[in-house]
Amino acid sequence: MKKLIPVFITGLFLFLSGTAQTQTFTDRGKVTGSFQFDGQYYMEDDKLGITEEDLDGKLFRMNGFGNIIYTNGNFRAGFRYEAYLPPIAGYNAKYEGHGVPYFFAEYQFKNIQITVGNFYEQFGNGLVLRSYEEWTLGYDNSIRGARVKFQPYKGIYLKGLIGTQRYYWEPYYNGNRGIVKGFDAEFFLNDIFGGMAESKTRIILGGSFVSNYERVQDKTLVRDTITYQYNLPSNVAAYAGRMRLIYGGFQFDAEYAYKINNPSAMNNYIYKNGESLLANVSYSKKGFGISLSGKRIDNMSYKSRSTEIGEALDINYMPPLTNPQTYSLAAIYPYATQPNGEIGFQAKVNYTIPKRSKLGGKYGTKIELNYSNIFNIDKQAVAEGIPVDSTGTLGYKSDFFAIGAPKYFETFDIILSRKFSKKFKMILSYVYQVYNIDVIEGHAGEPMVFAHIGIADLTYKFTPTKALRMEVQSLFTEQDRGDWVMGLLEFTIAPKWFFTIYDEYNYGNPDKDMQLHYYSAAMAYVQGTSRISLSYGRQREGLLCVGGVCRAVPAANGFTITLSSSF
Amino acid sequence: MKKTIYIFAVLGLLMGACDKIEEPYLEPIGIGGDHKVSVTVEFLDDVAGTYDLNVFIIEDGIIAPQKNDEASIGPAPDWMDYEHNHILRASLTSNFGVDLADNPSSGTIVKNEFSFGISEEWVLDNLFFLVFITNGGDFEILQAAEIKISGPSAKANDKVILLEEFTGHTCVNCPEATMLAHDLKTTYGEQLLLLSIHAGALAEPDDSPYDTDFRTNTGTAIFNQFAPLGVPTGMVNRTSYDGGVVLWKDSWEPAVADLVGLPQQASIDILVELDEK
Repeated sequence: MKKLIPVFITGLFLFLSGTAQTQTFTDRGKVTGSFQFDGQYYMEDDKLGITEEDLDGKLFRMNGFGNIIYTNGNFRAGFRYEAYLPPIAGYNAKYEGHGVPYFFAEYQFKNIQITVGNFYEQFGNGLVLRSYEEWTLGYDNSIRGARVKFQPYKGIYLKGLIGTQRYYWEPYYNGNRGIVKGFDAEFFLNDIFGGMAESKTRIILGGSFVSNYERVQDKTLVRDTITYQYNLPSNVAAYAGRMRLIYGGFQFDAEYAYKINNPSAMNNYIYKNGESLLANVSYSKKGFGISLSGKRIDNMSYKSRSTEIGEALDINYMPPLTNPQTYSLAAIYPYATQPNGEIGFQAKVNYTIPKRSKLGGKYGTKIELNYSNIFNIDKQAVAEGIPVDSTGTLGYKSDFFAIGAPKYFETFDIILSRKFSKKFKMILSYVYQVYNIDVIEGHAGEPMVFAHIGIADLTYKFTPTKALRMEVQSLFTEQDRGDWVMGLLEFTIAPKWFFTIYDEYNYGNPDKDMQLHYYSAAMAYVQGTSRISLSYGRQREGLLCVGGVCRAVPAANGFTITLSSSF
Repeated sequence: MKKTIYIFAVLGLLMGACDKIEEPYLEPIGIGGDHKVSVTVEFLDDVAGTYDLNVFIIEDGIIAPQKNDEASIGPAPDWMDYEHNHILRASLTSNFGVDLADNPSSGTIVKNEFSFGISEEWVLDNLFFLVFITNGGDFEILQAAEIKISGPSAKANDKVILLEEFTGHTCVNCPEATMLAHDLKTTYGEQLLLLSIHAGALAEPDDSPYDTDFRTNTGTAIFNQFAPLGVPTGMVNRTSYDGGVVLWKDSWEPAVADLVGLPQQASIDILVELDEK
């Protein structure tokens, strides 16, 4: 396969340059692309405990990519070059290297679209299949193979795919990971049935089926001096059904997914089936929105290699029921989805106090409330004397609607944003978090963290192009690393210049030597679609999560340069 | 509309590959019996990766016909009283071993105990335990050891290399390769151990007199895993030599020579307790 990539690209270029002669074709042809370079220069830091030995001579690290896509009418082709030389600290070391992990060609012929090469895809909410890429996480589970999309009839959308998933730079060979097959159908009933075309109620139904074939691994267990062989499945299938109902401002969404026995390193080789239910009901009108969600995940880790325990080779995805936190102290305790089991609820309310009302002020005031509460699912022993989650057994029995222990996460956020004048804007937030650091970060035995966070974000515009933004944040907790305070100043000369300085101070750390300042200064310059930014500072150790998927960020000290551009 | 549903159903069935596993999820392997063997591994070096332990029973001195093309070394084309040695009989540890250690460091000691029985078709005095440690990722062999089941225990103080030979009783070129392996054993003595794996088409039982079945599930699994282009071929410590793990016989000698004398990274102590009842 490795040899095929350059051939493919050369072929693509030959194809492009060859056709440059024929006028009608090039007239319609278009090349777009994007580029990013993230570099970090690391320095020793006695206080953070970063020594010369830790740096291991790799003082400069970089991640970068270049994306090139050629479009011509119904034809599209492209590739992405990536380089990690070596990867920035906190990214998986298996990324070290460079090459073209992603390339594709796509053609649309009437109601059929065919893609060969790499592609990203999602069935429904992703409960049984989602391949995506998240640069900041270093996450990429693109599928390399073939995909066909077919619309046989108005309102009916079918998708079928087959391929293998990306695993860093390791090529697929000889069954070193599974082969994923999937099929999805979606029906827009109002489009299919003429009688429903004008109906106020809109209904969309969908169903998916996914199967992963993996060469059976040899896995044994020695118990009481007898060696046992695990009877492992070669084919693990999952399916899901979903519906969406829309009536005026109301919307109801639900998806249920089921996975057959999938003993793997993720679930300690138990044979229980997996289940997942996601439901959401929401209502919105101008200035007001409310949304209630519920989720239950039971043994739903689904990977295309049963021995994988890292973040790679996920076939499916479980959307989080927590709000993403953008302010830095509120993001110290982020929630990571627990694929082996969680049950949770979320309620969100948005309300805008109308303009020119007594409370709303001249420009109106936005209020956002969010509450999430997530627990382990109920787990009961399958038989007396067999502990829950014992390998080589059914694992556990679980009451579908019961809430188990322990609690994983709870959060209550309230955000008020108000514009006082053309010049002055303020956002105030309060966040309460209960965080099971033992489960989420794997800090065995550490107590539950209870944190209160207050944030003020003020922006003052001196002139239409010059603005100063200030953030003051404070986090109070008796547990983990104790209290924090943070201050930030950002001066913007729109649209070209940004200057930022900030400091996070861990004054409450129970370890006096770790009561450190994490200071940073940054500037950025923007020209058109290109941006360059340069910063210097300390980076605190922690978790970075996007959509419930997380990676660990190590403590660091040094310079960061980021360059991005698109055309 | 109907057509669509049919297409959907057919595609669904095509992709419907789905293996429902029924109990028991765990099946005992190896060979049941009242005899016991304990294997103690001591790592002498810090080695990265996961390691597995393989415990095989092999048998020497089996007289059975073998096809042969090389008249200079023995009767051809049918060598009726051919002596088959180092024949894989059974594994106590499935096909690719049982978990032994993760990233062991120098001084890590792991002891495993297995029970086993002896088939009536085997000759106790010709039976050996062949024990070896493999890397969980690429199956490369770290150390090997062998003892006679009815004999006293012994422990090697060198790196011991394993030459695994893929062979078959209807393979006409195999005796010559086996002879070469035997010569290597004579040269390297205790630093080299041999294992004969009968697997593939040329190991299948045929019309009499080639109706013996020397094949084992484990042997076939190893054969399938490494997928040799044919027999006779072999693997030296399952280590890559000149770009390949499975080697034609001409590469065996240089591949062994490459590994002999490298530092010993683990020692294996085997203790057999035969049930005297």
